[in-house]
Amino acid sequence: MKRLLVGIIVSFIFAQDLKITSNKFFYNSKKLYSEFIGDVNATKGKSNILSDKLYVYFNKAKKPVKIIAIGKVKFYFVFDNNSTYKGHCNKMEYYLKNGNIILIGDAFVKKLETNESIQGSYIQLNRFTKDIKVKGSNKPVNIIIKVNE
Amino acid sequence: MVRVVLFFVFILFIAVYPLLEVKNFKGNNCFKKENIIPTILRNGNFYVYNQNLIKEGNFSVLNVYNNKKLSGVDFKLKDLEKNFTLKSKFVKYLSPILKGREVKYYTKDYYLVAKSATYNEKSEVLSGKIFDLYSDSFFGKGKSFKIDKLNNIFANKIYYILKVDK
Repeated sequence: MKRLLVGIIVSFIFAQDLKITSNKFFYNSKKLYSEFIGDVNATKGKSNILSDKLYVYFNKAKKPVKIIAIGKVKFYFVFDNNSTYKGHCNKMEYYLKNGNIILIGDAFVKKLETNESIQGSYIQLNRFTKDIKVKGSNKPVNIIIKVNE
Repeated sequence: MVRVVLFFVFILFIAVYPLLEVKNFKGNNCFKKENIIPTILRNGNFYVYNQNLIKEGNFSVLNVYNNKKLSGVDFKLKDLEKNFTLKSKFVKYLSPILKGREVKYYTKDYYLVAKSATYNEKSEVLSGKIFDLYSDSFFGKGKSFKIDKLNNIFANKIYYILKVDK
């Protein structure tokens, strides 16, 4: 009962923080990173990342600076009321400070409000500015933009 | 003839006597194995844990004998801890594995609380089942864990909450 109460209180305090569940976990106390393996599910508010592996890197002040998701990455990001993105890629790098989200390998992003989508081997999305940069490799970059007729 | 035989027996006895005497002397002063004191614990501290595993005991000196008997000075362990403590000491003596309940493990980065855990003194690995993990930046709960001597954590079925700036 005590633990449940503590759990509820902690959940409330961390309400808008990143919650991660996985089958296996490894924390490297020297290199300061956490590794999650198997059925990884990371949730923050309405945003969500699913992947095979996920790494959280900390700085010396023990604050998270970078999140890397690897393998069958699927995501759903809600940045604000008008910016909801859904997509997938092979690898995702999320830099918490500058808000850069880099999608690598067979990357696809769709903005749900406008139905616009982008496909490429490298997509860089910024959480704050909403800027998107795309690079293709062997395959051409696909950009679908809705045009009002 | 009888006198001659007795004389030779007497001479033989004198020659052999010192050997018998030495043997007896050695035997009388040999320590019995079970009486050797293998462990002396002081002040009720688990100092072998490097203060990572904390348990309370109220003895100033505790002797643990090979025959599993205890003798001590001010030997007053808490009732709740008594079984744990005595058991742990014996286990420690017989094998490098120590068992504990309500274990708290502190490091610079985090601290972990588990209902029960085992600590292997040789490999310096602490392992156990259901646990809570606390740190400045994260909180976690899991079904089982292992902490190696470098304080790295290996865990299964974890639920982890990370503090991130909005």
